[in-house]
Amino acid sequence: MAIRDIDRVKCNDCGRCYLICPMDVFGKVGRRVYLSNPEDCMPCYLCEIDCPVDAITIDAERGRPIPLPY
Amino acid sequence: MINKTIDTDVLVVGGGLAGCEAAIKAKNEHNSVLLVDKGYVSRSGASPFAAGAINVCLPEDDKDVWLREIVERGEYINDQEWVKLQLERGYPLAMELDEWGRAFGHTIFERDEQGNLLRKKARGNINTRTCVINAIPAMDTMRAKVIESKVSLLERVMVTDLVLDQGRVVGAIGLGYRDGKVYLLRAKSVVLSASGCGFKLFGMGHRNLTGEGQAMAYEAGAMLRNIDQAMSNTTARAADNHGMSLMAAAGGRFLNSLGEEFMWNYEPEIGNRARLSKLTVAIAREIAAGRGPVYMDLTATSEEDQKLMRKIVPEAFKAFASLKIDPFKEKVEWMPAFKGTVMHGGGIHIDITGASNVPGLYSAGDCSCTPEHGTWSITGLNLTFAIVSGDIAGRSAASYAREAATSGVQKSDVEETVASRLAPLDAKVGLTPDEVIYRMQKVLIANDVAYIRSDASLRRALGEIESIREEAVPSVKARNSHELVKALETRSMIRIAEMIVRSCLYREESRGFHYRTDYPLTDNDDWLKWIMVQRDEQGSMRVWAQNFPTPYLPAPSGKYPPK
Repeated sequence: MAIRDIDRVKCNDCGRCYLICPMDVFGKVGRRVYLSNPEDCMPCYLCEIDCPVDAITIDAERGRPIPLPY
Repeated sequence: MINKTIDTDVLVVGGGLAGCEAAIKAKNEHNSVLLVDKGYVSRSGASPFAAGAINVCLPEDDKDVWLREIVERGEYINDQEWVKLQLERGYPLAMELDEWGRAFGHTIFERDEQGNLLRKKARGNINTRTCVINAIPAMDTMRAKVIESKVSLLERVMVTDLVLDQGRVVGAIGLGYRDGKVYLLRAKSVVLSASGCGFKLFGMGHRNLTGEGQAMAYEAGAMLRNIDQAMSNTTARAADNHGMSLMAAAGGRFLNSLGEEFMWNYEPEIGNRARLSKLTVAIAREIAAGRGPVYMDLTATSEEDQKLMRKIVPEAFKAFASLKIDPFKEKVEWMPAFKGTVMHGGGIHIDITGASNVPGLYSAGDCSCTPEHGTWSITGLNLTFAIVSGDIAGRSAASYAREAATSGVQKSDVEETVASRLAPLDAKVGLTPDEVIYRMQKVLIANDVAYIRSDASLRRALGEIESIREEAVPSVKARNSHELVKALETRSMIRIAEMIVRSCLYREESRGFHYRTDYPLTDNDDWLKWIMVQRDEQGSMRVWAQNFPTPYLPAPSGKYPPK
């Protein structure tokens, strides 16, 4: 899975990842962000790049299997 | 059923580089402008992942030489008027963007120590050169400029349909990604700049580009063009990656299993810096000939270039790091990455004002047929085209809106359409969008459909696509608005898939990305034509070939192996 979790110790609830994710991977309850659709993570790394406190580390493994050409 | 109606003069759908440019320029002409995006403008679409290459013809460059190179290497199916426009308008618009960046504290163009624009020979370039652009700062700038210009923003809303009134486009229907709200967006003109359809396949950051813009234009009666040039990039086999133009410019090499730099056999003049169209077909042919796997080798690149690559495409290096691969120390297994109509590969047919054949409907960027490119000419044309076509289409749509009457379209006029879009929410049982998407991907990604084609393989694919269209797509269910967006994405994707396969079946020659074992030659005598697609009055997909003008460079004749 491309995104597995958010580092809760580091996360400062800024909501940037929720705001920017192109795939709507994050949900929000109050100020707290959670992973609502992690299987849709591309991954594109934008949340990891934009996170101000390095609370997100993305794995390059594709969130969903994609057939290969050969 | 409609939660909110919004009125605007100009509606822009898709907020990447082209859409932002169009919105800003339409707003400059004293219109109200609404910019809608499925995601968050500046972090949505292909633009934040533009990977560094933008083609800018500087005032001191010889425009005739550049035009010749772009048209020759686009295998002559470019719209030469657009090539000329791009060469004239690209530089001032790029410098305007650079200026906006400075005003907002962003560095957009890379420069050398003397302050000159950094220029490289990247993919496809022989006499032309490519500037290096920082994509994320460029998109941060665009967002800031859109807001400063007082363009209204509506984000996390997927536009599903255009609304027509007596043959004229008068707005669109939108669906809230997170809250499921339905919007009627009434406009005097619409610019579609929502990119193409990448089928949620490979390529970094492209998986929310599923062809709504092109599909809704088709439904509204617009002609689409050059879909037979559905494109591929290349990527690491183990994970999505990008930045290949920079990698090739830095001396990256493509090797087969025998250690040969095979690209010199396919594009003798520039080898590893070959055009994408040649590279993807060549990798597929090397694999078919038993000389796979194929590798990308960056081990001989300079430290300076390595630093530049890390800076310009940070996502790519995060992917390598996650795989525990140091691409500067070891070669990486590489493969073609089918991208459909994202970043090129055909789209909405436009004239030199950005207008489609449907009154009130304009298109910019990769959503259009990217008329400057031809097959796939040289690197970086798409980004320049985004700002040039955005500028032109935005101003054209604004001027159309000034003359157009307000439409009297009412909520009740669109209720039937809205009900059918919301239907997957009511389905008690049904297929998941993901299952249908996977089936579609399997058909399109196959080597004999995406790369080494024949009449038989394309007919098989068409049968499979038709069956998915008839049986699977209407049976998709959605549990919430997030899934409803995906369900509706399958509708757009299957439409574009059918266009691709039908267009490829129609073109009985090999040119650009289109390689057919049953017609292996480029045939200028019969096929120096644009392949067009349009919905006919019965609702079927009509495909035909159309002659086009070549005002500056005469068309070649004869048949020869693709070059």
